[in-house]
Amino acid sequence: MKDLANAKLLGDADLDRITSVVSNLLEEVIALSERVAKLEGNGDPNAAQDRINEIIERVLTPLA
Amino acid sequence: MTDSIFDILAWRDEEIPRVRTLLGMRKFWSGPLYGQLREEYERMTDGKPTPETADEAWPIVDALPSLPRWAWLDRHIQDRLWDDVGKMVDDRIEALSRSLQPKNDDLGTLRIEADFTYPEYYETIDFHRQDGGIWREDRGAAVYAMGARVIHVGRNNDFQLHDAFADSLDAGEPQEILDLACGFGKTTFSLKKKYPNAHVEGIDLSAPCLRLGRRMATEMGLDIDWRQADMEHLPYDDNAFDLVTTTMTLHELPLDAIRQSLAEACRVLKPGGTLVALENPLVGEPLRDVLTQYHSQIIVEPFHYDFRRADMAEFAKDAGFTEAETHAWSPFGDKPGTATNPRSWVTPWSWIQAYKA
Ligand SMILES: C[S@@+](CC[C@H](N)C(=O)[O-])C[C@H]1O[C@@H](n2cnc3c(N)ncnc32)[C@H](O)[C@@H]1O
Repeated sequence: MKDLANAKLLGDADLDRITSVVSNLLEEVIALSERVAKLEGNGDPNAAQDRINEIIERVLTPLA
Repeated sequence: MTDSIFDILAWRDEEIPRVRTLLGMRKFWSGPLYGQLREEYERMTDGKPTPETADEAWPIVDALPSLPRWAWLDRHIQDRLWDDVGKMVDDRIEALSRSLQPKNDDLGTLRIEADFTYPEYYETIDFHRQDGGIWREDRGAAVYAMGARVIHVGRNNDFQLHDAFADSLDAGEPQEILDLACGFGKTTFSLKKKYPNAHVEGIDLSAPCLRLGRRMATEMGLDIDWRQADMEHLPYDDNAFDLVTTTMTLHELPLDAIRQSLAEACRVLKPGGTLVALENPLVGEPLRDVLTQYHSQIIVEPFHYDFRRADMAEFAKDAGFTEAETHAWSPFGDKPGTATNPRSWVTPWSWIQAYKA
């Protein structure tokens, strides 16, 4: 029987998946933050790409 | 919603942040993340003989600490693209199938074969990581069409790259034009716009793409004929066309299929006719060339490696063309130095032109 109580459970391939989870969450956060910006009247569509690039750069910095 | 295919495929307000997220991630990938790889590469080659070819640089690139993260993000963006766009298409699927029904006002002809044999490589490979490909059902073609707009958004929202390709053609006044592997017709539309009096025909293996192309062409008032066919076995007589084009396709074919397709293009061209192909070459700078090859591998273009090492001008001559040449093509007058500055990531284009005497 495996020692599932104490073994290291997640391997390299799982890390790929978990990074996907995090990255998908980032997309959800961005979608929500754009909705909030619109509701608050701060959602200048011309500045949307810059706003989004900034969030992405802040969040993904550990990758670079 | 109207039944216009362009309205159906347009981004909805709530979708735009998702599209922008994909673009933002792509920018991060080609900006800071690529910059990091470049720094690591320069550190590793500092004080050593500088690699001059991609093959010399390959082992060094393989050892760069950031390579796995760069590759991971590349793969993720591609998968996310089809996922996001797939959901968008699913939301529109009924309107889409209504729109693609044959209609009385359809322009041009559409010939789909009831019993069509696809090349084996086409049936077995999901190019670009798109599950199920672009040829099994209309959904796949629509996902491809919407996804293609994400990749090029800004520059290619309205087929600017393909228009620039057609505008750059210098082939006299062709009357009979054939666009090989036309997909849903980006280049085919541009050809008809540039040569409104010519007869323009587009062929592709994918029936759904052809249906989509015909609908779009009809809505743009472009009278084009569409036909399901394999560019390795063209269903046309010898000496039938003045101009044959193919854009962004050769690198997706095995080398023997390229040879066979070039021979077919030569056969159906009239004496004095021209073949023009648009492609993505290597830039001749080792780090970017290795990364370009890895990028093609990641996005599932399995024949890119051999293609990029083959000399297409030679292939064209072997296939029967009398003269052939390739040169770099920068449709938007890229910023000076972009191609030569190894610190910026580039997608270069090459123009392949061949003549039949
Ligand atoms: C990347 S797309 C390019 C489409 C279009 N030429 C453009 O520039 O947007 C490649 C196309 O090649 C088609 N294709 C691949 N192999 C083919 C073949 N042997 N004969 C005809 N079409 C082919 C695919 O169905 C797909 O539509």
